[in-house]
Amino acid sequence: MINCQRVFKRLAGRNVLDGVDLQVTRGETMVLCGPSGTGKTTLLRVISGLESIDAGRISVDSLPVHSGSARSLKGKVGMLFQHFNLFEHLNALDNIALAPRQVLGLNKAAAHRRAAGLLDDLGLGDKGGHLPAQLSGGEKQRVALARCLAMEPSVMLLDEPTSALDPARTSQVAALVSRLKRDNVATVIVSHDPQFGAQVADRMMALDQGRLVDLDDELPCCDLVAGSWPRVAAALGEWRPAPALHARA
Amino acid sequence: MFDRGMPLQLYLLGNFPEGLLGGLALNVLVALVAFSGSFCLGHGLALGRLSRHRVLRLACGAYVELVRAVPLLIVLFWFFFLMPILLQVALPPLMTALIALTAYASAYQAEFIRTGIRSVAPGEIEAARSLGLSPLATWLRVVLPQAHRHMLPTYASYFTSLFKDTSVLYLVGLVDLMQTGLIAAERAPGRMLEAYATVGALFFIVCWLGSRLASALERWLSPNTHPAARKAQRPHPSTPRRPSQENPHAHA
Amino acid sequence: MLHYDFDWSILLRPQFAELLVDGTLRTLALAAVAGALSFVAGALLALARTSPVAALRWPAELAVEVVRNVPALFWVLFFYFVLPELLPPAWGERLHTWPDYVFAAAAMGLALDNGAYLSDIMRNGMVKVSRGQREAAANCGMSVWQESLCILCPQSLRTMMPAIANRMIHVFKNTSLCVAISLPELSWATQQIESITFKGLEVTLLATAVYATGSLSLAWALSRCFPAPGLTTPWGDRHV
Repeated sequence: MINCQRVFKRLAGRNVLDGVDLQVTRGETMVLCGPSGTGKTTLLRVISGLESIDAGRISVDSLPVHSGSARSLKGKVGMLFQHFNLFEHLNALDNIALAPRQVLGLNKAAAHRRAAGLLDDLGLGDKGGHLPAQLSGGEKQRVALARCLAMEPSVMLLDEPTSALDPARTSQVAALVSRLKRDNVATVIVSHDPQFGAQVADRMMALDQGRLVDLDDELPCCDLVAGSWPRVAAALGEWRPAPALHARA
Repeated sequence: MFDRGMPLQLYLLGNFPEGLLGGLALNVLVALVAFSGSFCLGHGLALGRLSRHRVLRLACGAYVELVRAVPLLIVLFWFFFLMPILLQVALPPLMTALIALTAYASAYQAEFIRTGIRSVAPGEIEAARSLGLSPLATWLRVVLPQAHRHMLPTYASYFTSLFKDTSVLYLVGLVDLMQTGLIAAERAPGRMLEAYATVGALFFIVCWLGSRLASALERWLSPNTHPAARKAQRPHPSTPRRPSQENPHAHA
Repeated sequence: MLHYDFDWSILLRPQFAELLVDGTLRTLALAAVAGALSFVAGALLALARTSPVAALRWPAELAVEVVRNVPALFWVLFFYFVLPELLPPAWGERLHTWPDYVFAAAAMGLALDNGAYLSDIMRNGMVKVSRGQREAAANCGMSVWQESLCILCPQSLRTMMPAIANRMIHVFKNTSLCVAISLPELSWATQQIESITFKGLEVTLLATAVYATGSLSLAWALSRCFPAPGLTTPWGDRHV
């Protein structure tokens, strides 16, 4: 599970994260919603250790995330980047097998078996030998996801998983998210697509002036960046969280 | 009868095997050794310029910029004047020339390597970090393979350029292809044209082969940017990311 | 460590100072003349290479291939030693007795070498601008010359200038090759002074400073006038 306590981060003179408290348990899917530029991606990046924080504590499964030390997590926090960031010179199979070999110490055969298994699961069994340049957007996303899953993460962070794909693919991404839920992975998704968010979330939150706002509560009437808030609110409409997993932070 | 004023063997091999290696073989050998050595040193300089430590960054940067700002002849002078003073013993001219040329080429190689490294998407390095790869593993498995692949045509092209640069070495006393031609022209003034034609032709052959290799490498790496390959394009657009490459002979 | 007595005063001795100043000026003059000539040569070659007339195109392509695959030093020697032999005897004699022929041969050799590279730059630059604009110009009734002068050249030059300026810096450095024909430029002066005084380090340091200042200030001026991001070329991914 993820535990963020009083996290502060300043960027370009403003508090991008202003005392963020967040807990996400295993198997729970939390969606961070809202207009771009509000710091949602920054929150993902500090949880994964890619960026440092100015104050506060972050821990994953009781392991502290040291400021800016992504490597020390050894893949426990999987990050699905918005533009996938696949290794362009390696084929799909090698992309997935690289980290298990280098970090977990698996031998080549075992790593390739694991990679091939994941590709099969995700419907890419015949694409193992393809280079990233030869894959479609959806296929690249699944390879990137498999690359994270090969490290058996307890937390998955998804940065705008629908923005780089055709709108028609949203349901396929939702299927990937439900797979993560089935595997009991704590998932945080950043999305500017409120319909997608509503579809997959157990809990929906937003960042307002660097503070987390639980969307279960009354919508705050404040002046948010880009003014898309009224549209988000309208789109949420009849959404209600699933009662079993509805847990307030 | 095409009389070069000297046997062709002299142009190609110098006095070898009776004496020292000379002629075209000397140029090729020096170019190969200097290219290999500078490739290794260039990595050190490139990584130094990208280092977190300010002193290292400035030192490597200063070396690269200074060497690229002066002619090869000046670098040769430096080594030929400095080495006897530093070492208190006279090195054979070939050795000094090799060291000087390697030091000169390292600055250029460092820039190519640095361009290549910068052409690798920073997102991939972040992905490697988030997967837990160590810095060394990231360099060896993710960054350098791609950096070198992107810059292969530039390396091939630079080898050709370095080979042409070796023609200057006769000014410091080596009997290379250029010197052989000049000696032939001097000994038989009536045959000057043939001598120059031979020298020119031999340089041309090696350089032309080098530039064909560079073009072939470029086509192999980016099949869809080459006009001939565009006719047989695959359905998925699949141009690998290429860095914009600078003229390898240019400064700045 | 360094068993060497630095003697900076030799640089100030009149005969050596004169050699150095003279050499520097000649280097600059040679770079300027060769640069200008190479620009013209490059432009002509580029126009020939993009010409629809095959009789112009093939010789130009061949010439550029030959020139680029042979060292610049060869061309300098060629113009000085071989060209007078190729010309009719009367002309050859006049060239031999013309005292400035050393400078002229050096300039021509460097210009030819650089011109071949510039023609590549210009050809790529011109191709980029040509298509739709050529059609528009033809539509307006402009002649080929007007189209070239008013449409192609201004636009192409802007994108090509960084690469062209880079090559000009290269010409500046290449002037050192002309010690081969004993042109009294800066490197030649350095060599002379060293051979007389055996104080190589001081004079080489000075020569280094002059060359470095010239190259770096040209490069700095270039980066101010044309803020191109670092190591890119104006024509994109094509390597030269």
